[in-house]
Amino acid sequence: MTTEQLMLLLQAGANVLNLIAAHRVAAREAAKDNPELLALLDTIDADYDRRIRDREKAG
Amino acid sequence: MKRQRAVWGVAIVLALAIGCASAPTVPAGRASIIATDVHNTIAAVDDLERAMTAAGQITAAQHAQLNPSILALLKSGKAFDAALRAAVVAPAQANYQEALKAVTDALGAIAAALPDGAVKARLLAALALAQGTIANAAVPLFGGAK
Repeated sequence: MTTEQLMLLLQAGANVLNLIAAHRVAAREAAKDNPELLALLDTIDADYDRRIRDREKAG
Repeated sequence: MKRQRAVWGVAIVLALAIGCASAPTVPAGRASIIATDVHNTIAAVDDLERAMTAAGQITAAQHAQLNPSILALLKSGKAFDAALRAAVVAPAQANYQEALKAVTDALGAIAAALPDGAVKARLLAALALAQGTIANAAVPLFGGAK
């Protein structure tokens, strides 16, 4: 493998990593833009907490 | 020329490998459906056991026997909810597959803790339904379409 080929290979790998990073940033932004989902997860979490407290009291 | 093709082949395989190794993301719309389905299923098991206890179909001793395993189920559900949030907000930290396994393991532990008799038959049916509902709800988490 020549140096040029190795550089191409490394560049391809770097491009893939950049794509993955961009995908993750986009996912985070999508979550920020979706307060309904976060509110739903909070509501569900609060319900689990209530049920856990009740069970711990009963136990 | 052949060698250059081989290099590109290696590059593509490398790209696919890195892409597959990275934590998958869960679309927000699907995450809300999955979170709701799993929560409703776990809550139904919790509610059913409470209702049967209140109706006298489960004795106080049987309730005390089941309580720890249902508590573990609720905690696993809470952990799954947190893992699902991570899958949407920070995919790199997503570990919802392990969290989901903990939920199904907790359902199995309840089945193992059931007292013999009519209570066992009724709750086993509910637990089987819960396992099926959770497995169905989680299909998109494992790359399946739903």
